[in-house]
Amino acid sequence: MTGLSPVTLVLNGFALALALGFMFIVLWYDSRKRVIQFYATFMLMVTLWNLGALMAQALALLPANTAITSIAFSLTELGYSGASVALNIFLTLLSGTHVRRFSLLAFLSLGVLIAYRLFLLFAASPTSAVDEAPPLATFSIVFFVIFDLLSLYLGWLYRRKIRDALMVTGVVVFVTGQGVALLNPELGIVALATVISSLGALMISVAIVRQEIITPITSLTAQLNTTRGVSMSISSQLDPGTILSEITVQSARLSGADAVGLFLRERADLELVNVYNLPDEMRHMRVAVGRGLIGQAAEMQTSLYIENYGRDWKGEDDLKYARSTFGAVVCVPLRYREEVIGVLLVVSGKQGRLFRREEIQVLELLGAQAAVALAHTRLFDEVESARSTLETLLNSTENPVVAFDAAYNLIFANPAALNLTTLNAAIREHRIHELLLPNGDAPENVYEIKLDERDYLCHLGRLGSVQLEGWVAVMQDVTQLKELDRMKSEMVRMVSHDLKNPLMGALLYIDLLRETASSTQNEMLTVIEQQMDRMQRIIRGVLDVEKVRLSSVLSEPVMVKPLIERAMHELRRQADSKQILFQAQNPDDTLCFIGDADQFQRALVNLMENAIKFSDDGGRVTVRAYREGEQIVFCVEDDGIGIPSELHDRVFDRFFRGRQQGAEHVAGSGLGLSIVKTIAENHRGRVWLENADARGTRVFITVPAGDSGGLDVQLE
Amino acid sequence: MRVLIVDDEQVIRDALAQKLRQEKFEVVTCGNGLEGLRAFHASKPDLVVLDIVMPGDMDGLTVCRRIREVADTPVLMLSANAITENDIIEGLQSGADEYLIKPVRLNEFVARIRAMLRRSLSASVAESVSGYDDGYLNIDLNRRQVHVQGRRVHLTPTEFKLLAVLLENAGHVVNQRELLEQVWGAEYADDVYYPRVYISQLRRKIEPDVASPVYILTEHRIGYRFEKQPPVISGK
Repeated sequence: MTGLSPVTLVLNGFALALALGFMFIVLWYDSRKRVIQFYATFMLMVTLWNLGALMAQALALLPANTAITSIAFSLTELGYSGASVALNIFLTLLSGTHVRRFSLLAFLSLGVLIAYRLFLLFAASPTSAVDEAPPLATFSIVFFVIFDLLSLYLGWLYRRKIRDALMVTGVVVFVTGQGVALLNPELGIVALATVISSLGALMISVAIVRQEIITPITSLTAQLNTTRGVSMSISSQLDPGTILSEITVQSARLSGADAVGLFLRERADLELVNVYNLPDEMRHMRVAVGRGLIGQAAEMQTSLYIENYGRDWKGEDDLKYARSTFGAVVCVPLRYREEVIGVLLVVSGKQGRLFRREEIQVLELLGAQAAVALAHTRLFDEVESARSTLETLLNSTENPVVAFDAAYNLIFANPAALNLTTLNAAIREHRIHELLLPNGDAPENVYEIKLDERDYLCHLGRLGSVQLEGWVAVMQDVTQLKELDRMKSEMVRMVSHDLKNPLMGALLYIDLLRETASSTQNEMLTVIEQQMDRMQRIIRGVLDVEKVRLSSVLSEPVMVKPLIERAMHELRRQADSKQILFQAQNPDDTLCFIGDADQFQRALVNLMENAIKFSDDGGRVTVRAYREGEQIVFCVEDDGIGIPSELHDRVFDRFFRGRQQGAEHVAGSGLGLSIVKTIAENHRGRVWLENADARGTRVFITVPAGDSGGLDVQLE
Repeated sequence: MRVLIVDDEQVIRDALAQKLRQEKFEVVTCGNGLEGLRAFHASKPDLVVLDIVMPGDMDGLTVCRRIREVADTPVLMLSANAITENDIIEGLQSGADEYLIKPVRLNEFVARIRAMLRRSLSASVAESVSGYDDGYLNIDLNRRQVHVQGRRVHLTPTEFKLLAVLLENAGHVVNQRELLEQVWGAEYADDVYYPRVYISQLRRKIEPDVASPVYILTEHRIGYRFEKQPPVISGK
């Protein structure tokens, strides 16, 4: 007999002890993980097997004790076949191919195995005492053949997924060890078998420690460092193009992917804007949100992982050649403020590696940072382009623009402003407020200012919505406008003068002719006179517009009742000549407003004159005045031919004359109502038309009511 | 009665002259301001009709001022380019007694001329009041003289008549219509500018402080009132 070799014993014990030590470390690290639990089970079985084998070898040296011997054999058998089953279950879990309730079934089968062994130990008659250790039972051989070979197959099949060569080698070594145990029942062989298997178990242990503890920790550190580096390099970039390529390159580096594509959202589409290792012509391809894997990731706003695109993805294809070239695929949506702004596509080739969960998490982290960086770039771009547009605008405008803070320090001045000597000097001498805030901090919003001998209209705006932060002044050169205005007035004056003189000359000769004319000649003269009257009215109309515009509006208390009476007095004769019932309807004695009595009388006269002109002979014109809230309302109503509603707004335009039927004979300049409108506006009032109930028109003019109490009767 | 017509528009000049001659007036016509002023001195007219805008250095306003420096002759101003009230007031302030805006019809023209002549010829107002003197302001209705602080103040006939009517009704309000009818004539009842302009001219001449008048007070939208002041003891 070869006996118990001390070398194998020491080697075996050392390997086993080390493996058990690793097992405890792994269990201590994370005992809840299924893989680790079955690894521990596997180690337990290996230990049992070794223990059994050791006992059997030790018993051979002692006097035969059938009970202990049978226990030793049972332990060997149980450990041997249990290890086979446990290894298989462990590998299945490791390769991730387990079915539902697999671990439950696995535990159950192990339980049955142990129960069967214990039953054999106590219930069945012990095996006859032999000198030599008996060969392994057929039962164990069956287990070995089924489970160990299955384990080898699994290891081979999922070598890509297991990825750890040591693990695969360990499995092979362990299976070899178990195989060796079958070769010859000689104890020496059994001892050799347990040594080989222990080495195998040690390899598996080292592999599991590396996979479960060391790799995550080192890769976590590495990933942390890389992510930090990546996010630093991304966020330090402001050029969108650089950021995009940085994101793709870094994602590829971090995940060890074969290719990366970056899609950015363009309304309902995702456009491929940057590629790494993908064909360049794919760039600018578009994928609709919600369609394909990429579209789905964008729509669901979650990362999607497919291990084998060709096999597992049943939806629409995202890109050409995807099905034939893509292996594992990760789609990470880039989200910013609950919105998907793009998708990161990370691809490994058909024969390439798969992605670990940690790698996907790192990609998600990267995606989040990339999203923020991209969003910020966009924001920055928008702000920058808005700023440059504004700057171009301000620099190119001829209007001087100046902004200064509440302490009157200059914030901004465009070239047009700096070109003004007066303004420039004020800015340099820090007394800009003296120039632009003539009334201190409570300025008028619009006022005129003279700078460098030119007239400017200055629009002053406050900066700061709650607290005053400063002022911005936009100035408009109105020198030319004022000159034009002056020229226009001059021209109106000149034209009216030049027209009035010949008109008067002609009228005077009509008057002279009348004294000697016959009756037919007189009729003709009347026609000529009427035509000249029309001309005169037009001239007067033009001059009236100019007059209302030029005259400053007086602010004096105006009593409404006498005002109406004076206006009616002017038109009494005209109304009487058409037998029109011209009356005021009991106006209130106390009504009063602040304004220009002459101008307002002019407005009322124009309205009443219109009413009279457009009324038939024997018609009725009624004037009313009443208070409505804060307004005094004047209403002139006639029962004349009326004005179509669609013309109601236009009648207040200059030179507008209604061309409706029945009004052809009415003379006018088309300026009367436009003067009324100007006067109403001068009085912060309003003027509008309404159709009267039966026929005719109502014209309303309003003016803010003044306080009639305590009138100051001083005029001039 | 002799009327001087100064207007650069020959057609107007001729027509007005023809009408006035028909009405038995003696008429002198001129085409510009300078000639007009010469003609005024040469022919000593009873009334002057002045156009405002005329070619040359001298416009109607200047001519009127120059006339006022030497005489009270009534002046009727004709204007084609009056737009605002201020234009009219400017004309009246140069010393004109009347301001008509072109075009003016013959009948109205003749009526106004007759009214003006009537006004200037009615030497005295009523005899009930002969004058007023409080030490500061002295009005002598009979001699048609007004003194302020002993210095003689020159008043046009219209201004004088206006002051006389107000003094006659001292302490009572004379409304605008009454004022217009008594001073200018019944046909002027609607020309509300006249009292306003003449009152302000009168104030400038006789009030110690134009901004807060004490003699001629305004009753808002009604009329005016002459208020006698307590006698001032001369500081001399």
